[in-house]
Amino acid sequence: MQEEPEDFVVAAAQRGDLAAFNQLVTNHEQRVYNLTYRMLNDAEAAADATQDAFFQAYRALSQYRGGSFKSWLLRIASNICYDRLRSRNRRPTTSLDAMIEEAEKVGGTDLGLLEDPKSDPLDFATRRELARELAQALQSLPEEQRVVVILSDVQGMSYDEIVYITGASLGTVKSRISRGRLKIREYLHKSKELLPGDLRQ
Amino acid sequence: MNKPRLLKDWDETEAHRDQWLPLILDYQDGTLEGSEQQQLKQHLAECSACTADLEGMRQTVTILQRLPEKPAPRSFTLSPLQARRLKPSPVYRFSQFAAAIAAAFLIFAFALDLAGTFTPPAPASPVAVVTADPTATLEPIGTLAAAAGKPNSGSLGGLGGVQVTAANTQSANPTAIPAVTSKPGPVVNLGTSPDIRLVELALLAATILFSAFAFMARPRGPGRLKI
Repeated sequence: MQEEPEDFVVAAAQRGDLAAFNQLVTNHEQRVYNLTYRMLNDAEAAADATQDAFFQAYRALSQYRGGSFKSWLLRIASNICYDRLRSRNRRPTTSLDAMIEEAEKVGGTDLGLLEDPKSDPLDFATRRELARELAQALQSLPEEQRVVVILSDVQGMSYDEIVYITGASLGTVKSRISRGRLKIREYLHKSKELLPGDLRQ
Repeated sequence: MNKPRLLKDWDETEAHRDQWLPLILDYQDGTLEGSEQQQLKQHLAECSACTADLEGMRQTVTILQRLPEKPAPRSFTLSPLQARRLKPSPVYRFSQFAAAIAAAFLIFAFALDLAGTFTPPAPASPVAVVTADPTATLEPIGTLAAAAGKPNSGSLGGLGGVQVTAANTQSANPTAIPAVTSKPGPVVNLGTSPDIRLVELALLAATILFSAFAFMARPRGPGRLKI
């Protein structure tokens, strides 16, 4: 099914084939969820935002006019993230400390740095720490920098795709990426010892 | 590196970055070519800040790339119910809309009725003949409208004049036109002139009918949908 050209699946979904739409959901949910998760830094909120993204996509399916379906979905998802973050800022039900605590509680397993805890206990702990730091570093970025850094460096998307998803110009996207990278670097510099050996200076 | 910097230094650093970061990013991407590449290399040789920035960006990318994907906690596929609630069937949407319109007209007609706009003058002799007509038994006052148009004749006898009477009444009440044409066929066929009560009845029937359609075509099932 994966090999089947996505355009056909999209066309079928647009004709009202729910199974085809769900095929698209299955193909892209992982990526959409990861974007929302890295943006919101909260597993539950991310799942909620992901579900919303697919709801909106389903309703707006007739408005999709070709191009990369993945990018189209991610654009919807990133807009939802912006909304969520904005309303979170408007009504800060959780303090920043609480959010950090949450991130700590969630810890390395949830931050996704660990595949096998048994392999090397020391490495496990270090990576867990690093994952936490990295999540917080990402959170420290302004939203518009965060989204481009996630798309570019975590998800490995091209500039063209990021331009489409964010609606910003190429120059702006590049500027945000480089600024974001430097900010993360500065953030991590404070906990230098956490960096893996090959990245320590 | 973590020493607090003076604002002036900060401004200078930022201005410097504004100038060189785009080139550094392209260089990191491997897309910087020709004279610009030469220019940057030359600059990097003598500018430790920019060299540190390039190195920092490289490190960040390396470390971010190591963040593995986080598995989605569940499947986000849509159930048929969710799909139907997100996109209700056209029948449902139309019925809902039509029921609302009919209800609005009903209220309007009712208001006109209450205001007495269409109340006919009471005839001398009530036309009791019409009780043979089932619709008329429901609407005794409606039959009186016949008297308004042709007070001299029994309404059953007025078959010839039906169209004229109907047209007259309709022109007096333009809001009733869609409902009258769509609904109360039997009444017209029976030769009773439609009046405001009949219109109300028709609109009531339309409201109930469309509501029933909407109810039948509604997206069914339990579950909460947050949208």
